[in-house]
Amino acid sequence: MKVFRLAKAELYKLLQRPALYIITGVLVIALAVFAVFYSPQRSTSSLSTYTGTMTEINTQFEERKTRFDNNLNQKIQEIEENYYKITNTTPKLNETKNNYELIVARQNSLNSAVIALSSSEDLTSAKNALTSLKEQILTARNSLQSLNTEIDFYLTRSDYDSYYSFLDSYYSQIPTVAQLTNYNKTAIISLSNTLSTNYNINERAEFMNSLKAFELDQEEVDEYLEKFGYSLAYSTDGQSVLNTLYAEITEFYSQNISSQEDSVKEQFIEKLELYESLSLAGQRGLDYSFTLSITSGLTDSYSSSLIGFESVNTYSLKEQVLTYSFEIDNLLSQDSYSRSPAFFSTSTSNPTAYDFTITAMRILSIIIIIACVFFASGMIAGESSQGTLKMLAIRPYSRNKILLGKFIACIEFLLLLLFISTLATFIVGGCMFGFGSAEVLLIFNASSLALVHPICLVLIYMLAIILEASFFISLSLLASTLIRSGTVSVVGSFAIYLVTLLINIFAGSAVWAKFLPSTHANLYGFFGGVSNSVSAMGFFVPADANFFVSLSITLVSSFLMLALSLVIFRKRDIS
Amino acid sequence: MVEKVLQLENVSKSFGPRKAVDGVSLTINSGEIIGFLGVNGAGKSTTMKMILGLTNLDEGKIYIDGYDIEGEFEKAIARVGGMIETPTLYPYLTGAQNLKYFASLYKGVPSSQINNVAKLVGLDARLKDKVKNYSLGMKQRLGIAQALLTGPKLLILDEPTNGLDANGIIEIKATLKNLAKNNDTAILISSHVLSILESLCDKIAIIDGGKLLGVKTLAELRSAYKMYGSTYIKTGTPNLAGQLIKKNFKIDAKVTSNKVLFNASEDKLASIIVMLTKNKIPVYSAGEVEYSLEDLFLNIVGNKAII
Ligand SMILES: Nc1ncnc2c1ncn2[C@@H]1O[C@H](COP(=O)(O)OP(=O)(O)O)[C@@H](O)[C@H]1O
Ligand SMILES: [Mg+2]
Repeated sequence: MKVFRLAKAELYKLLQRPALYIITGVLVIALAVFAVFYSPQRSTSSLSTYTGTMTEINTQFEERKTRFDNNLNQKIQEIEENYYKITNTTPKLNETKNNYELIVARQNSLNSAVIALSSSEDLTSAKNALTSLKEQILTARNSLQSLNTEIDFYLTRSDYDSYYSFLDSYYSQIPTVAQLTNYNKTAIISLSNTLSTNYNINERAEFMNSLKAFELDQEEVDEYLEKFGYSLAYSTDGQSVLNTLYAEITEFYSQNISSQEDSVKEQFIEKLELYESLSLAGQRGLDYSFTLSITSGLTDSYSSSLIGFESVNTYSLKEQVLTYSFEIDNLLSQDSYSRSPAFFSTSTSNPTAYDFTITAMRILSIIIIIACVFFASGMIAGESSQGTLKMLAIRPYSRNKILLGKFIACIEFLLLLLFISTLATFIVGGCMFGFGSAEVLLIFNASSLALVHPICLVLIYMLAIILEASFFISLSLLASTLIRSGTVSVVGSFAIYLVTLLINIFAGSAVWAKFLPSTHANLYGFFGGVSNSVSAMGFFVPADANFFVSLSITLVSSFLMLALSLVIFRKRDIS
Repeated sequence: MVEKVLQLENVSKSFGPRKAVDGVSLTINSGEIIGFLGVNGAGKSTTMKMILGLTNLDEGKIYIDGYDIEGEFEKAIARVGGMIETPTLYPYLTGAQNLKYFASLYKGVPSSQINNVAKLVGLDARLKDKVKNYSLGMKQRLGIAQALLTGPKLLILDEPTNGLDANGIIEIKATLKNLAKNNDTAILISSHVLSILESLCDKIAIIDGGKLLGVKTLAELRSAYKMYGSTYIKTGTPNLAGQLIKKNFKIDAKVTSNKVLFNASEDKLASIIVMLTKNKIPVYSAGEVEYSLEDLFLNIVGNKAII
């Protein structure tokens, strides 16, 4: 195709650019720095350690086992209680709403009574209306107070406080029956006016509407109680997973009680660790599942304000629940398999070339994207400022083909740079840590999981970088067609990239950030690294995220930016 | 066979309120070299940019080899080699690399062609140098070379001799002449200096203020200008002298700052000198007018004469 001939010519030109030396230099230095300073943190391993003879080890375990079992059983009980509480909040909630409606009605009848006063001297009905309003407010306030214990479940503390103090102050502003005897017609009219201006109950309507009870799906709660609780928990009578495992442990112990061999001890400790790990998986699985089920149907921001977490990252919770269920299903201890590596963190005891590659490419990809942004943003504006664009525009290529050819050249440049960098990184990592290739647990979109060869992660990461870079190449080309000055276009595009990079690092999962297309542009977060990411440079997913939504946003916005540049460029005079 | 390679039909272009090109119509046949002459800002570059599809037309039509530049851009432009204003090349590439890049944009331009065109413009010795080290003249040569790469039917060269030394100009002129003669290339070459176009162009198209004043051969231009008179006398009081000549010899005379111009035979000139001397009007010199080409051009443009 013709457009590829142009792309090839553009790439040829691009590869002669002196700036390429700088980019290569920076990439090499970055890789060297990584090779020197790479020492990943080992994620997880919260399991207890055992030492001594078989007997000593067994004693240590028996002591701890009570605690493991208690913790899990307590968690089960807690979930059951919370479930009971929540199903009982609905009537209380209805009562609150009902009380609100009654206050509105009483306030209306007070207004009518006051209006009637203009043609009558009888104060009784107005005074009665005031009194019954006061009574109703008191009822509402007291009923609200009884909600206090369950407050965390369905309204935020500040909303609660605000409504409570409103009622409280409203109540105190209405005179008692005894005080009312001193009021004459003018006083009553003025009091009613003051009340309706200062305490407009209708302003609370929106808050009342937003107030709703959590609806827990009983089947769902039963399901996770079964999975992480009942089927697992140790009890003296039942046939649960931990029961069976404990039986195995005691048998193994009685058979090898006097063994001095390290391998036997290791085997024994492995079983003990599995016991603790499974019990932990059950506890956390229950905990996170419950949080997920009370926040289901809410946005991340709303669940954060309700639960009082600094940031409820629903996605990360789902990912972890999935991991725990994987461990229980396969009877795996948390340390016995590898998870997706994140920035400077790995779940295996010895890092491998794959861990190194993922971590190093996190930084190298930034340099690569900056290089793409630099070249793409100069492709039209820069050549236009320098005048070389007219030399290109008088060749037999339509304007569309010129822009597309340049876009393709940028993508080819990206692929070249990315491929070489990844390969170099992988080789360096391999020389330092070996190419160990234990299978890695890959969790996709917090909804499905599989054990895969670690090379898959590297390939997926490359694809994610390609998509992200394409997004920024489109953005830079758009800037390049919109802006006349080459320098302004390059500096502007570079600044935009840096700002989005900082947003992604420091506020990537903040709720407001999800409205920026750039937040969705790196999709690697959807492949299992989120809950392992410990540092700001780690992987994230946008708030209320879903892989397919983010993918669509990235593709559609890249396409739109490219289409817009085509439209602009087609109509332009080149001088 | 003569074909119409370039046709401009009533082409106009405005930048804001200012009309840069105003109703220009022009035809160039194969093998023909047309000089495009006009002072700075006359509209030469704008016209050429429209021919090359760089600038949109406000009005009119441009056909290259029968193809509408706007409707069938790719077909039309494939037949053209062009260079607009100062040649802008990639400074970080060598001359050869620049040519290689441009050649790679076309299908089937052999790499030997790069050396061929470089030879044509006399740049073959410096082809391996980076363009950032080129002088303006060398860039100009490279700019012409890239326009020749595909052996185009039509060459559009905007002030290609800027920055060239006298030798260079002669070389380039010879190259262009050869192309027109041997390859039947149609050439439109612009300049704001008439002498550059002399002895190269078949015809000169003069543009001023965006309007085409006419397309004439150099001989036609000279004779048109000669209507004002080919004989002159130089005197201190040209106005008085002019009146006397008109009155006594019944011929038309034109007065400039220090000369009187008219048509007269040598005998008549002698009598006029005698007459003026009698009238105590000193004659400093007299004879046939040797108009420089630039006088000619500036006079045409100055008088806005439709020639
Ligand atoms: N891009 C532009 N924007 C505004 N005015 C322009 C532009 N290009 C040319 N002009 C104006 O159009 C007129 C013709 O310019 P140009 O064609 O470059 O003249 P020439 O090449 O004969 O010196 C000039 O008055 C010039 O200022
Ligand atoms: Mg010009």
